[in-house]
Amino acid sequence: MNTPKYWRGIEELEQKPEFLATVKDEFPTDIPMDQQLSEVTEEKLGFKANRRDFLKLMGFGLTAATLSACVETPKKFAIPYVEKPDDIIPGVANYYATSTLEGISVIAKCREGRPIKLEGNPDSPVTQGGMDAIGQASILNLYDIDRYQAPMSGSTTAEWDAVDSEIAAKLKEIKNSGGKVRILSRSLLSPSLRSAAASFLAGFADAKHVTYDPISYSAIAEANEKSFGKKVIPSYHINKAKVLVGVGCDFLGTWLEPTSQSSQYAEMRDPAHSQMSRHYQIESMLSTTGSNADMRFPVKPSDTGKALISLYNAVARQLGKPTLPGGSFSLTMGGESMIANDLVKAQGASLVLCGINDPACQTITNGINDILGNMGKTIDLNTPVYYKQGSDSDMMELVGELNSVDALFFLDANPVYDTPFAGAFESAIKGMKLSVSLATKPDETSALCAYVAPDHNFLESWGDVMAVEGIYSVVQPTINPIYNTRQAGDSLLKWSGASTKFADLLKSNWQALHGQQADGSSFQEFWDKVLRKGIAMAKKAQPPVEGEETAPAAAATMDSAALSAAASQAQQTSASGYELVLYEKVGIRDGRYAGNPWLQELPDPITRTTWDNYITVPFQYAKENGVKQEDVLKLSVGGQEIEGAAVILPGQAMGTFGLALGYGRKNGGRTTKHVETIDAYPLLEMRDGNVAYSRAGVTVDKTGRTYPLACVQTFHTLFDPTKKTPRKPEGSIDNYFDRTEEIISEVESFEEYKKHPEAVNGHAGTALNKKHHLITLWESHYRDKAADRYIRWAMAIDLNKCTGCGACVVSCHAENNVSVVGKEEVRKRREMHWIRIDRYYSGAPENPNVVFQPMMCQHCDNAPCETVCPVLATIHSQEGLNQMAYNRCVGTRYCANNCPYKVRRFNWYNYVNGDDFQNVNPAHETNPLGRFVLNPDVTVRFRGVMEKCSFCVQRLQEGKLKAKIRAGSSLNPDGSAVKPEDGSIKTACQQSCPTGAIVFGDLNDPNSEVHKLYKENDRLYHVIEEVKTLPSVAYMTKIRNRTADQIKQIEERTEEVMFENEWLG
Amino acid sequence: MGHHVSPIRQQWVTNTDYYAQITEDISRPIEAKPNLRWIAAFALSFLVLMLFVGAVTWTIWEGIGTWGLNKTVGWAFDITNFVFWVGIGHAGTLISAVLLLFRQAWRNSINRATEAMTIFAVICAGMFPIIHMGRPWLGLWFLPLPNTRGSLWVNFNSPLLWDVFAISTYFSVSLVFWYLGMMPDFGSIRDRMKRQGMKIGSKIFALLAMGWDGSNRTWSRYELVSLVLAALATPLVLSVHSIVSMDFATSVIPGWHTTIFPPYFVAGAIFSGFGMVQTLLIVQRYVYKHENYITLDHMESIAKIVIATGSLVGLAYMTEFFIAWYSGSIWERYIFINRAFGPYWWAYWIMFSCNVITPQIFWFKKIRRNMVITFIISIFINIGMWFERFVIIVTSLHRDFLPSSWAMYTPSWVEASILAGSFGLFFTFYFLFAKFLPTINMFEVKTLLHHPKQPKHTFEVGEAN
Repeated sequence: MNTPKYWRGIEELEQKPEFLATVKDEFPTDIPMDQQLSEVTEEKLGFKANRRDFLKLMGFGLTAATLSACVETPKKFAIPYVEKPDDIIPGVANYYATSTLEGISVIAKCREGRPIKLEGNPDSPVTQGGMDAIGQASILNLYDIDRYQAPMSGSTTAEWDAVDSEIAAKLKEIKNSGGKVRILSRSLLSPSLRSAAASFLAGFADAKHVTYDPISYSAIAEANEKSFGKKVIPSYHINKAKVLVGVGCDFLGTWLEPTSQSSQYAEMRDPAHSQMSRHYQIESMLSTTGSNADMRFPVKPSDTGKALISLYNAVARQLGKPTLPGGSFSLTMGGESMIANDLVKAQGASLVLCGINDPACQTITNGINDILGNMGKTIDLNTPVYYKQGSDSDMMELVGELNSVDALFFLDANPVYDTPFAGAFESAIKGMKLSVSLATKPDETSALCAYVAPDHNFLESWGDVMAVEGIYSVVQPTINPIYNTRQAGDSLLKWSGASTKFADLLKSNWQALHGQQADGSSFQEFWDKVLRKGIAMAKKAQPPVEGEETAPAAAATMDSAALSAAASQAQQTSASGYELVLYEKVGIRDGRYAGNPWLQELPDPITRTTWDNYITVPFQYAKENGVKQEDVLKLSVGGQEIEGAAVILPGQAMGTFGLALGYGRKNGGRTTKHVETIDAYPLLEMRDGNVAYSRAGVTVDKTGRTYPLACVQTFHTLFDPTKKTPRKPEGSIDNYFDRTEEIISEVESFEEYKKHPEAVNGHAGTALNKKHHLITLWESHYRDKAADRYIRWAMAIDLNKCTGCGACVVSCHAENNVSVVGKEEVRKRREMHWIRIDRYYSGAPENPNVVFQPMMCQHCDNAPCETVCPVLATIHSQEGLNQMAYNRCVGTRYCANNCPYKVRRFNWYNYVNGDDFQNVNPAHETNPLGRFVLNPDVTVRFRGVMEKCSFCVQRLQEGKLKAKIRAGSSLNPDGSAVKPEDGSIKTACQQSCPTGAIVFGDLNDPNSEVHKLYKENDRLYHVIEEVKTLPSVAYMTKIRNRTADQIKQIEERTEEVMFENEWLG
Repeated sequence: MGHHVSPIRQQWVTNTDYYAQITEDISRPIEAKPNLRWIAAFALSFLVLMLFVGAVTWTIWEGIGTWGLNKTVGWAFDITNFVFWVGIGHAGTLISAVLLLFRQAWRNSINRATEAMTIFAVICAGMFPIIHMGRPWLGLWFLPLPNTRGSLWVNFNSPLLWDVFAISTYFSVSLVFWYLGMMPDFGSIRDRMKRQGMKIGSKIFALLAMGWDGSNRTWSRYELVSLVLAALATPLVLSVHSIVSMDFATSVIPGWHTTIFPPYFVAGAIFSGFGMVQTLLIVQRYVYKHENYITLDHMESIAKIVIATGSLVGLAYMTEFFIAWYSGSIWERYIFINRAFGPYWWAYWIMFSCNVITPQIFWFKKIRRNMVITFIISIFINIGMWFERFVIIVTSLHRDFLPSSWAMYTPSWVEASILAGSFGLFFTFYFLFAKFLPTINMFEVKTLLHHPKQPKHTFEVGEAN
């Protein structure tokens, strides 16, 4: 076949030789290589390229590319949701109601699926939205990198199935042999968990659930059983007590449930009311509560019982009742009759609280309350509280039979550390057939157990809390379990062979509660509401319907035989030599959270010391024996010896020393390794069947060494007692450079204040319409009238309500990503707290007056920091905020120097990547889990940058945006800007304050609470007003409630012991 | 008789008969090889400079945390060193500018060295505002440069910014003045080196001399420019340290917030500067055998200025105390009582005795002319003036308004090294200057020769001794 021949063009058709010559080459025309590479071209282009240059450039390029590829650039992943969960909007927080292990109902703020902040639930009838320091800090326990990540069999990680089957096999064996099974737990506030434990134990012939508390309250229930036949801890109505007596009882700091007690206390301490409670405190240590008391009497622990008898007798004599034998002990200044006078005047509206874990003392206290008619009024035995259910006798029984126990389950219990029976448990666990710890984090006990079945953190769990009879709050998970852990309730149910999940058990338990709700909703509606609100009440705890009179709780009758027995026992208490008080600190408490760096860095409200345990020494003892701050003392008691640094504590009873529990954890996580410090639990002893928190027969020697403590405040008075000035030559105690008037405004008599309210702070008039006593050359050039249409943020802090508890400090830590810097840096006076609580003493050091003053950036209108910054990194906002632009800050520190309040904090190091901060700062870059707690709305500051309180500007911004979204516009119909509603925005410190001491809002809003205070409250003043910084934070004068007599007595005593003591300064 | 006899003018240059001898005396060390003593001294300074470099590097690497500062005391050694070194500089400017305007002939033989001292002291001073920053790599934010960072600008209210302008102006004027003053001498050295066949040296000095030809026109222009520069530099003697003092005076901190600071600081600066001048010149006249140029009369004049400014400083110290009492303000009263009798009492009394008491022995002529004692006193003055700034900064900050924040400051080894190292920086520069540049203003000293004789024969280079 003939294929047609195609030609590509005329040239091919013609087959000209020129054409044929070209087609034989691959490229029909020459590629001008020569021309391209010729020197002529190179000249034209102005360079000369040769092979060497090419190789050089290539070599350079290769090397540069290689080197730059070697640089380790941080990898950051931003992964969008493939399927966005319905309820998560990135950047917008979700809030869930839940409860802490301490039984405080909280709202957990979650960002992108991780909880970052806990706030007290304002709907809770118990805490009213307040929260304490440990509650605020408990969020960090969720992100504790030391937590158990999986079940453990011995010291190796295991699978749940394997652990479960091994435990089941052993349990079966024990069951068949009729062996002893015990659960040891702290007070479980969850009724459902208690029932899960009960159903687990029900399968065994000899089984028992033993409850203990590291700080035992067992004597209270015991005494109530003896006195009134009810083995409970009653509800105390501090808010109904006009006269309040605390005996060895730090109810504002550590005792029972300080949050709700503080909030009740504050209700009665408002000078705006017609009446203010009078608070007496009898104690050995200077506690937070004692420092808030109107009158305080230091007594030794061995004298406390006698003092109670004297008080009983003084009251009884006035009421014409029979007195108790004994009672020869007398308080200073005739204290018992002073107190008795007031108590008798307030019969039925007074309250004596005793924190001594001794049934005799508790019984006498019951006696006093009984003859005063307080039972059923300020003390409600019919509404018990369950914060502490531990029983010392149960615990003793368990310790006695430890060696015969076959299976022991530690459910939130760490007896090897926090009981005096460490040795007994240690040896018994080793020989036990089955020992299981359900701890969330390795502790001294779990390290010994054969199995660890790690529990969820409470923020990962389902559960419920009934801390006060009839008031329930829910525990719901706020995050998926981070590690391979399992809820304790589920573990118990699994081991008991049940197939139900704990969450189902919980729901079925709440069915009963649903039945008591009167609103006729279905269970699902009820349950949804509970999850939203967090709180539900049993019928009897619900507020009475209007007009329906509730029958007063029947007053129990006091068993008089018990009383006289107690009296004779208390009278016998005698102690020789010095005594040791073992107490809890507000931050560390019983040591369960000792691994929490926020709490370690929280200064003790009284000693202002962080990170360490120490021996508190009475002022007088230190003076007489030449003991200096930080001297190491050797303290021996009953053959045991400990060494610790001395902290001189004014107000501590003569003849006593103090030592805190909760320190010296051997297995408390990486944070506790940062400081090695004293464990006081081995010093506890059992006395008459109860754990006693004091020891007698103590000897103390100086060792001649010193130990550095990290104290954030080394000056304790408002003046330097070593320097005199001839300013007030009358010889009064003002004979020093006394700054009190400029910094603290204080009135000793509530009655006087009520008579002359205008005279309180020496500056007539209120903050907004005061006629200034200070003359200024610069009349108001700073105040722009046009700014009145904007918001002007301002704060007022009531010194009368602030108890110094430190909840705000930790809350600020959490909200504002404040770095934890560790002991060494604190010791160098470089703590980063944006809010601090200054504590000042006045009066005689043996029993001083104490005042607390929260201090943070004052957001001055004439801010000294703003004018001196060379780069305008700190500037004033339209809304009166003093703002920090971290990115602009170059770190000259001039602003901090020029701040009269010294509230600015400098990042001396890079606290998130310095090696020294690895174990202390949860936000350290080597701690991937700890960083989860960071608030994404707040920048983590780099080194070399200044930072300080921002009035929680991120919350203000959020609140303003919310208001605009709600209004649907940024302008109101009348053209004015939409402003957030008063009270809708709360700063972190304000939100957490259990006493409501902090008020915050818009000063330009005439209806705002803060405006009213600034306008009308005559107690309002500014700190060092004379400097004319015009702060946006005001303080309200502290009003104590002392009688004229008491004031005179205190003054006389103060005159006697003039401050001549260098230590105080 | 009967006709007026003018008093004999003071001899500011002794035992020198010829212009050429002056040139020879001053230029010889530049042309000669460095001797062992110089090498040893320079090596030591350089070593100390390396300490400075090391400590500063460590600070920038780790953070300001390596220092002993805290939440209460935010400045200590850093700004103390800054003010100290700026103060040192002032004597140089006073000598070169103010004394020129006042036609004080005796300045001619010491102005070169003191101006050099000024330049190097200001270089040392200028280091500290940068080192003391938390983020020194952002130092350029101090400059009002047009930028793309939005509306960010510097804060003209801040005294730290005034410092930037004050110090940079001071440095540039001083540098130009110093350089200009050396040009005629550079010309002489260039010519000498050429004659000796020193090719590299003569080329360098030819460059430095910028074509100086010694013509009448050049000279008259030179005189005019130096007069103008002197007039420019004169207010700087007062303004620079006044502005430095405002770092403190404009604040609200008791002990800083005081109107006396500008004159007080200027007096202190001149005082400290002359102290340092004494130290340096005594060494110079000894090492370089410049006794004929820097005579005992010179040293006596300087001692007189020292006693005057020292007493002024003493007066200022006492005025501060008086005003603190008179003000009736407890803050002020306390801060001064605390300064003298508080925990830093030792620093205060070192300051007081070094600055106020020791210079008083200069009332005795014998002591003014005794170089050993003068040297010792000058060291005291240096120490005292350093402590003055330390006392002002640290004792005011460490106990200000709220006693809750009162704290103590203890320096770290890093800060101590930076302080010591800054002397290394200063002396490294100074020794380089002393070796490679004319330490005495040759042409101006020549004007002081009363009856210069013509040498009997033409001087050959290197002949006259």
